[in-house]
Amino acid sequence: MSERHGRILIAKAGLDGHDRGAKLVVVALRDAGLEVVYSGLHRLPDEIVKIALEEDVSVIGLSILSGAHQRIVARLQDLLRVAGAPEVTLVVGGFIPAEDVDELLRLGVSAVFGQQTKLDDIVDYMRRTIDATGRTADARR
Amino acid sequence: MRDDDLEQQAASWRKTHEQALTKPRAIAFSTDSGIPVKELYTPLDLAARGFDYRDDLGFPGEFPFTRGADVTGYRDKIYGIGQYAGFATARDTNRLFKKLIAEGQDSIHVACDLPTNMGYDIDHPLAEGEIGRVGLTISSLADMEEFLDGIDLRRIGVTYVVNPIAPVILAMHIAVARKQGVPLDLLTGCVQNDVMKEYTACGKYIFPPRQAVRLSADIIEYVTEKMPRFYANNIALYHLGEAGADQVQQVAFALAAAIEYCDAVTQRGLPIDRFARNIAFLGYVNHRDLLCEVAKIRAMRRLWAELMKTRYGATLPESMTLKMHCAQGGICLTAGEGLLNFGRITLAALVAALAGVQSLGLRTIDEPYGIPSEEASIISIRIARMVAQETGAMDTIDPLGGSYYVESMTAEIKSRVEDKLAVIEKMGGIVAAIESGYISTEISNSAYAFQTALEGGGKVLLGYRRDAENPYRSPNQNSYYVPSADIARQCRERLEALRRTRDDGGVQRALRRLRAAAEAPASPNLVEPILEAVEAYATMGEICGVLRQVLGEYRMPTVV
Repeated sequence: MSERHGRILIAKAGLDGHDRGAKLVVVALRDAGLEVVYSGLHRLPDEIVKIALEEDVSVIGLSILSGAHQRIVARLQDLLRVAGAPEVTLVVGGFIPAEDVDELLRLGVSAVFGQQTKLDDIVDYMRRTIDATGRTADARR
Repeated sequence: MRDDDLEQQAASWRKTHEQALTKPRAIAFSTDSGIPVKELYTPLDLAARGFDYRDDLGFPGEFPFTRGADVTGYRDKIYGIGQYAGFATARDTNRLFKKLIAEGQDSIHVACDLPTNMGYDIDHPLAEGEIGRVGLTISSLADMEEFLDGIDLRRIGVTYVVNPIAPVILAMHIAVARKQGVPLDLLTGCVQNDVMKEYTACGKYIFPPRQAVRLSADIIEYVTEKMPRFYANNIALYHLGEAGADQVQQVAFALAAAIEYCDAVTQRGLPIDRFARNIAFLGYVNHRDLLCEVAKIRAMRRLWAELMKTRYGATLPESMTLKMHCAQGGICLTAGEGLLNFGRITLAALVAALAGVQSLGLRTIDEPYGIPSEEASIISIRIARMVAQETGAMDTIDPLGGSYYVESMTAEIKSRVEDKLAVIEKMGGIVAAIESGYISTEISNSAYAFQTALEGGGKVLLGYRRDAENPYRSPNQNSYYVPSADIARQCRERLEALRRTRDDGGVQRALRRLRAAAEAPASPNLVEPILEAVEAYATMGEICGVLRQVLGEYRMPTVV
């Protein structure tokens, strides 16, 4: 079961092509022994949700620097609900103006990481989230 | 003094001061590229490399151009100033650049939004939420006309940082020039037409790499013939550096891309001396490793000259000189302690001045927070001018030439770049190196090494771990540009109005001709048929849509 509930999808949505940060996070998570999928660039929200379901991930880490974060996050949350997978944790990283962070949290994002966040802190957060998801899944069983 | 005497003296100096020298403040000194830095450089270091003034440096404006592309350096004029900027609408961007020009900007360097860059009309699903976010929306020639309204294209050069859509943007620029009655041979500026780095560093690609090279060669061919003062490309170190490539990788990957484009054009039978002068580079400067940044650009000047001369048999000096607009990196600015960025911006301008680049664009003080405001762009223009006119760094040509350290680094970077170019050559060139994942992996590894060094304390970037709300916050922190909330609606209405009023039959005919040309087995130059479509007011999405259907699309794989 820990295999089933341990994967992370790092996703790039929309037209934003800057993935230095996304790739850093992918490498850091892999180095820490976690299972990571990288979506590649320019995915539509429904493509991201499709990959998330196919790869059975418990966390989606959306990386976005273009400023289109609110639209894309809202769309992802809708699609996850429709797909019957609202338990998938959504975290956002990238270039998010301070005044938008609260709005993203209100939309149901569980954490927002910025340029000052340490890779180690992201790894810790992901590990805790995955452990919690695993426990929830066990309890449901 | 004979060198063996000096060697003896150096050894004795080291022995005498051994105790002091073994207490450095860092475990190891090295540049961000991992090149070790010794405590002292002397003539011995140059002698060890067989340094020869005539062969290695020569004189400004003469082969191998290490000391400068131009004979006069900055003695006749300072670097051009070209801040990169752009607001959502053509009207606002037009006003912005008129203001910046009035404040001392020499040429326009326009940022377009992502739907434009990717060749989508604004009603495409992928454009949702992206319209006008990071720059100007150009849906059709109508937007370009408004953007350039009242700007004298005889006097002001325009640089477009667009890549897969470069042929369309070039055609739009030509169409506006025609309407303004400006002969094409008077146009200055540049269209960035360097898609190779998009697959590995910036992500703005549409077509598969081979097709992208074809379009790139089409542009070079067209510009060389009709627009002799215009640059048909500015091959970028910039985006590579921002993605994480170190100094050696920046130069090597940009030169490897240049080789690809030049090969494609020479294979069409165009001699190198006909088109090399129309190729420029977009350099990358940072305050970090300041002296090595100067060395990097000096090394690249020489590498380009040698490449042109020996590989391509260029004979004209203008084919061998490196033309470079340099942009400061944003990666070294921090949101925390934002005031420090003033210092970083100033130092980057100093690097450009010491390196002798032809043109400079600095980052802005509000850029760690959002899209540069007009005010912040003006401050950067003034900083560029301050460095040029107050520091004296521009009063003599190549002021660091002959520095034991800078010459050692120039030679070291050059040799490391040559090694990397040999590796790429062996793989079959830049396209093969992209397709095999080599370039991406190299860049990612460098980015990761830098990040872990930063987080481990081995490298320092003050303020990057601090919250933007710390006591040393920038006064410009909240000045950045945000497009108005109904920008998407405004742009959509404009596009719908255009579709209603244009001659649709003419658009369809032009698009059919474009398709036929793109499909033709002889691979004719596509700039002319694209220009026809542009002049019929076909939209960006319609033109790129035809090209997508014929040339195919590149899709980055999902990595499990």
